Parts: sequence; C-alpha cells; structure tokens
Amino acid sequence: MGRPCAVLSAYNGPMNVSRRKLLQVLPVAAAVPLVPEAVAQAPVAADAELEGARQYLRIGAQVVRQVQLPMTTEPATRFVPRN
Amino acid sequence: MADISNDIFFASISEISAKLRAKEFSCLELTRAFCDRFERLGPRYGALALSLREQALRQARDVDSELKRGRTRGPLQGIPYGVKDLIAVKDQPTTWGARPFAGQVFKDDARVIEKLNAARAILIGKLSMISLAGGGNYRSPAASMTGAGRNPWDRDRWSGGSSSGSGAAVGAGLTTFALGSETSGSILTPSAFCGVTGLRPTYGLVSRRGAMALSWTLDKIGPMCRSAEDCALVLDEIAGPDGADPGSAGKNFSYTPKLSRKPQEITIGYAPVDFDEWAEPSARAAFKTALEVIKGFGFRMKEVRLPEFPYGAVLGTILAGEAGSIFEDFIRSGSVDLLHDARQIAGMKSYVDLPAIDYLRAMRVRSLIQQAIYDLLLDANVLLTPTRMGVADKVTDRLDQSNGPQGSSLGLSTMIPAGNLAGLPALSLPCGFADGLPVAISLVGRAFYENQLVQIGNMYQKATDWHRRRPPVDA
Repeated sequence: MGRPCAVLSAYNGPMNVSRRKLLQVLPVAAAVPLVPEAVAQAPVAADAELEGARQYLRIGAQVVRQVQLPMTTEPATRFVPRN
Repeated sequence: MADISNDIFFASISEISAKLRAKEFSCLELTRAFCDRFERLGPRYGALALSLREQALRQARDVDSELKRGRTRGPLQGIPYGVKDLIAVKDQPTTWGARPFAGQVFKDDARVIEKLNAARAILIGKLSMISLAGGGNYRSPAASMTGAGRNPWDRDRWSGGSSSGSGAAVGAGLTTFALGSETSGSILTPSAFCGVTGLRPTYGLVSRRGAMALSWTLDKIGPMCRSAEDCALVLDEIAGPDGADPGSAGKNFSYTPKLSRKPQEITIGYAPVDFDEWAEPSARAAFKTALEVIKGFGFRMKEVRLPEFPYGAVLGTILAGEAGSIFEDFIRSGSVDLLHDARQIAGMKSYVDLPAIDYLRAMRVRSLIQQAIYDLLLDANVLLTPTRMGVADKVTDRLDQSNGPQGSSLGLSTMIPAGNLAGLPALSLPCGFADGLPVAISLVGRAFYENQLVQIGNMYQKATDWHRRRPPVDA
C-alpha cells in the first residue's frame, strides 16, 4: 500500500466527493468532524486513535454507499482483468 | 582484482551483463562490491533489512563457474538485486517490516525467488519496508522496524512507501534492480520519489506465492529498476502461471521490443487538469515538458478523464475487509500493539469491525469501476498522468495530514487507486526534478499490455536522461 493521504482520501488519491458535497448528502456524517479529532491532534490516547480509525472507515463506507448501484450488480469476483 | 567503478553501481542490466560476459570483472568481484556498498550505505538510507552476503557470494561463484564453461543464460545472469522483505527467502528471516514478525522464517523460497534463482540473478539482501506493507494506514514514514526509508536525493526526505527500501536501494545504486509490491501505489510511489523506473504488472501476471498477503484481490509484485527496458527484462523472468497462487492469470510475459506498434497507431489519453491544477506548482514545468516530449513522438493524443467514482474509499474499504481477515488473529491476539505507528495499530484494529455488507458494497462498486475503466481504455490505449503530484515528503512529515493542490475536475488524478482496482499495469518514468527532488510520470495500459508501456517508456528514455541522473550518494 502506498503513501496514505488525507483522511477522506484513502490510499493515494483524492476522492471525487468534495467535503461540501459530502455534507449535503450525508446528514449523519455531517454531525461528526470529517477530520476526526484523533487524527488532527497529537498526542492522542489509544482509545481516541482507535475511534478515529473507525470513523475513517465509516466515512469511507458512507461515501461508497452514495454510488448508485443496480440491484443486478454482483461483487467483483473476477480479479484478473480482461484484455 | 578488477576495479569496480562507481559507474557499475548505476549501470543497467544490459550494461553489467555485457561486462560480465566480456570478463571485465568476475561475478564474484561484482557481487562483493555490491554487498560492501549495500552493507555500508544501506543503513544510511534505511534500506537494509538483511544482508545475504554469504549466499550471494556462493551464487556468484556458481555463475563464474558457468561463464567459465561458456554456459550463458538470460540477461539477469550474475546481476545483483534485492527484494522487499515481504518476499520469503528460504531459511532467512522475513520480517514483513514489523517487529512482531522479526523472527519469522519460511522453509521455502517465494515463487519469484525461485524464478530469479533459475535465471542466476544474485540476491544480495532483503530490503526495508513499511510494516505490513502499510495495512491499517500509517502516520509516519518511520512506520517500519528499520525506521524511515530515506531518499537518496535528500536524506531528510522519505523514499516512499511501502516499498521504501526497494526505491532507496535502486536509487542509491545499492542494487541493480529490486522487487517491490503494490496494493495501491507501493511500487509507483517510491519509484517516483527516488527517481527510478517502476513497473506494476497486471494483476495475476506475477505469482505472489511466498509473499505476504495484504489484499488477495489487489496485491501485485513488480520490478523497480534503472530503466523501462530493465523492468521488462526482470518481468520476463518473474512473470508466469502458478497454480499455487489463486490470483494467477495463467499468462506469461515475453519482452518483445521488435514487435512495437507505430506511435501513430497508439492513442494516449491525458487530462490537462492533472498538469495545470492537480500537480504541485513546483512540479508543473517538469510534468508539462514530459507531456510535450511524449506528444512529440507522434502518438495520437486525446483528452480524457476518469469516470466519477470514489476510488480511494472503494479501495480502502476492500483493503480493510481483506487485511482485517488476513490479520484477524494477529489483531485479536494483541500482537498488533507491537507495531511502530499508533495510527497503524488503530487502523488495523478498526479493520475487524468492518461490516461484511460494506466490503461487499465496495466489491460491487468495483465491478462498475472495472467496466468503466475497460470502456475508457477502448478509447485510449494508454493513459498518461503524473505518478505523484509532487515530491517526496519530509521524513518528519505527518502523512495523514497532507493536502496538496486540487483540481476543478477529477482528470486522472486518482489513477493509482483506480488502476489498482482495475488490476491494470503501470510504468513510472522519472521525468525531471522539482525542488531538487525527482518527479515522475506514469503510463497505465490495458491488461497484459506491458510491452506497450515499455515501448513508450523506451522511447521516452532514449529521448531524455532523467533515469540516468545520479543522486549525491557518494559525495
């Protein structure tokens, strides 16, 4: 895994959802800081660090949920790409 | 005894191979010189995980014996190399860059080691890496058992991750080539930061048997070298089917430079916004010059952009699900607390809480992404973008707080997670400097079209000399 990026930009790249847009579509997420306190401040207690990491995952999953997904779409089970 | 000059440490595979066969020096002399240098300078760049001097010297004597009998093999015969310390070498420690695994020893070589042994390449050592290839995410470049990987161009800068030692070792002339691995950027990023050429193969082209798994559906092993041609020569040896790797594509790779297509028959897609807005201001001139050089070859150029998907979040969720499962026992046992980076410890722990429905949702979105990028590559054979938008971070930087420039549209700025989700090959080429540090462009191609990427890379590297620049390592 490459260099990590900012909180909402997991793994090497900015996501295509702006924070403003995220606030518009995610009222639940809007209630919590998009840059969790556990990440923004140092030093942090292990519990706060863990909560920050969980929050990071939750926000990522919320962003994934915004993608319109036809019911017929199956998970990618073919990882060797076509050519 | 032959004098091994500094030039040899920065020579290409073909150049060293020619000198070995011309008997300008023996393989033993060459290997001894590289081992000395690796042991002397490796720690200075945080690149040395383990020296394998004794076994390397044995291998070198065997090669000399072969050459004496006139038995020549492929181009890697007698070439010194190193491997990221997540690749198993029989009966030697394989630490995965992490203290809890410091005593781990495997009974068998990884498949790529078997293949390179058969090619008579000389393994001189294991190379440092970010702990567990960065799984869980990490805050500090020093998230490794061996400390921060330091950049050969400026030791106060990071060599990149997670193949930190591989980038630093090739960049500093400690090995002629190295193997790295990539789940999302771990070959391309250190290659770009250290000014070396890196090739991420198509998913499934290179067997991962004997390598640490971080994500079954994303992990790839690939070469980091001095040139595109060197990458092709190494890939030629390590690629191939392996029934013991469930992700194996069952395909081989043969380097075929003579079967190249004319530039006029190849369409290269690029996004101006990458060069004008996403790139850090100090790097824009280098990237734009590289784009002009590529245009000058006569390729058909087309403006493109990635389809709108949250690539980073999709990849992060998939990685969390798979790494959480792979390392579940390690995490639940509490051994995870022995890692070096508090953010990484917390990140790994959070993985085991990921709901299955979130993982599956991400994998369903991945299906859409795979199709969308496949469609994009029907319009353009190759995509061109800066590998990283700027230069290497300082080793004291917090990696989870960096926010560089942004663009008004996506362009190809998220090509690293997008390309990895789609399993596509990529080639990173040094293209200049910004603030005294290397920057690079990447070519991303259709699945199993590595030869096409190497063809363009060869053209670029014949027209430029960025890949031949040497850092002030010996000053």
